[in-house]
Amino acid sequence: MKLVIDRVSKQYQNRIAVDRISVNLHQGVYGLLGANGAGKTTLMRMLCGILKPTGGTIAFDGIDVSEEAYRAILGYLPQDFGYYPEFSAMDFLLYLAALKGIPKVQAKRKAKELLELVSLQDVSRKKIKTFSGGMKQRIGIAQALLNDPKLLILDEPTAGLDPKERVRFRKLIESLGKDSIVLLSTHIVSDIEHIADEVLMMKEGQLIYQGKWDDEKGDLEEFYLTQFGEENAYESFRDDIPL
Amino acid sequence: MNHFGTIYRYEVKKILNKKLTWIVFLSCVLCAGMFAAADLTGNYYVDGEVFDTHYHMFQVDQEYRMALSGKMLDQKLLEEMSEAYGKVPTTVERYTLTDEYQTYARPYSEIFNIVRLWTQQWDIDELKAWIPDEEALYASRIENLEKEWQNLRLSDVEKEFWREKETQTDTPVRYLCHDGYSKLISNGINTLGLLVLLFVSICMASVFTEEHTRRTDQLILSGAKGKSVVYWAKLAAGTSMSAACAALLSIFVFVLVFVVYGAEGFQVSLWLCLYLWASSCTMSLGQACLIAYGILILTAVFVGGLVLVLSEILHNNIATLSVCVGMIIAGMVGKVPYQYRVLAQFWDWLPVRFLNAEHIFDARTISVFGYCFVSWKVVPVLYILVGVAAAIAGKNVYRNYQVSGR
Repeated sequence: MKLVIDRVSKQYQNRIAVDRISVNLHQGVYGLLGANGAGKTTLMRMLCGILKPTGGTIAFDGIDVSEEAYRAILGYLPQDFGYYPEFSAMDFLLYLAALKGIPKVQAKRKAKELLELVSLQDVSRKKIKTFSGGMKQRIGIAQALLNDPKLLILDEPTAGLDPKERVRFRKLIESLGKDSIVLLSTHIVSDIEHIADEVLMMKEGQLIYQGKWDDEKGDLEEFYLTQFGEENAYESFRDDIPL
Repeated sequence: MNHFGTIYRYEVKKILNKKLTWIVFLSCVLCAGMFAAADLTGNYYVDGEVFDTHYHMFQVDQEYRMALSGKMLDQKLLEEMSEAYGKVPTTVERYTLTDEYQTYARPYSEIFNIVRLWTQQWDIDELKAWIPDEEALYASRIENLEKEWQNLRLSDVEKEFWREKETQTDTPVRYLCHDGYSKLISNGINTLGLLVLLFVSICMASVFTEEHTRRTDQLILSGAKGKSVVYWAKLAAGTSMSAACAALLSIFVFVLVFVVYGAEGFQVSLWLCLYLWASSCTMSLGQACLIAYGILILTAVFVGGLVLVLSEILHNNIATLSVCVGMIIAGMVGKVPYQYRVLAQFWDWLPVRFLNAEHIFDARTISVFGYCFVSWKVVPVLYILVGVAAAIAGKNVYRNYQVSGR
């Protein structure tokens, strides 16, 4: 199982959002870190085949990103995804299961299973418009897992989840990483520290760090803040406060 | 397994779940109901005084038309009509208010109106002086048709085509009361056409665009079937809902019109329909109604498809709606003079203009290798071809859509 990202770039007129990123991903959980505008979402969209790279190639076990077979093994949770307010949770999952090409009987079984997994089984027939933000996020997570994806891309998956749900979700990601490639982006460094096997760090469209992170290397959050100059900003802000 | 059926059902559900769909549809039903009843409401005034109600006048006239139903439009009937109208004084300001008209002539007013149209004589004195002559009447109709064909800039091949068609109808023709069918073909088809086009423009403009504004496009396009099956399923859902709207409104109007005006007269010749007297098509009025409303449903599918594709190209439902409403208004108010034959003919094929019996059963044809293809056969085929081409073009736009920004 191998996802090959080879010199992938995305350029918008006079701005380079992603700049020649090359990386090979194998089974496991990868945490993608980066400040706003670093190019994380753009990279993830390209990995999902919904945004064409300006240059470079993306392939999963030799299957190009533009092929239907690639999308068949993909699970994607966008950062800011929409839903159908009049659909029930079950309908939403069954619709997306059909989009993923899952047979009807299997889709029903899987939808039930996932609704239980995200603790929405009691509201499976309720319309999504009645759901809270956290519940909507959980249904988003469920839809990403419908086809037992070999490649799971999660853009800010823990946004909107309460602490208890977040812990549960981390465990779920950890277990998924045993059989598939999971790439998740987040601003919450502790999420990455807890579950990611490897860390990918992006700055201004480029990959500035790639590899395992262990305690010997120090505090990941500190490293992250140093890279993005936020520590300095914090310190100068602290200096300004009259004590 | 391509999951088309499942995705199609969910796409239909999305359309039906929208309040806007139901609001627009129910407004169309209300307008269609008002259209059916509009002629029969209110009073008829003479010098500011109520003379009669429209409904009563209709009832009286319909009774007279029913009495004429089944009679041949021959010498005998023309003489009866002429004798009755001969009793009407013409020295009065309004002859229709005289007792003589009400007693003797009114029962023949339908035949009188047919004679007026066929002879293109509008002056009552001239018509009173007209000597009933069956042969002359039928010849006069042909003579006036020839003039009309000249105005329409028909070619010699086309004229010959229609002359041949004229000979296929046996004369004299039999009069049948046909109030319901007349109502359906005269202004029912264009009223319903306008309502259906508005429904389609308003409700279909958001089928694709809403996925972008709701940001559900990311989930759809990253799905295995998201870039192929979904496009066709959406197109099928949108066009079938457009067809369903047209069919339901048609059924509603047919039932309403038949209840109010009666369902007699399916077999009556088009020559006797005051709205289509100049048509040389050999079908009956009932058949013409079925063809016209069939074309309405097909046009709904065609326009539905175009609106869907346009919305995917523009990625904006307001812009799509503006283009569609602009085209509807342009089609309603704009008219190309007949002397610009090709342009005028193409202009009259715009859906909003074509949904009019006058254009569906137009004398202008498409001549290919000496054979003439009539509008009601050519335009639907053209709509299908354009629709298919637009759908294929839209597929490429849809496939290549890039989720960026936000």
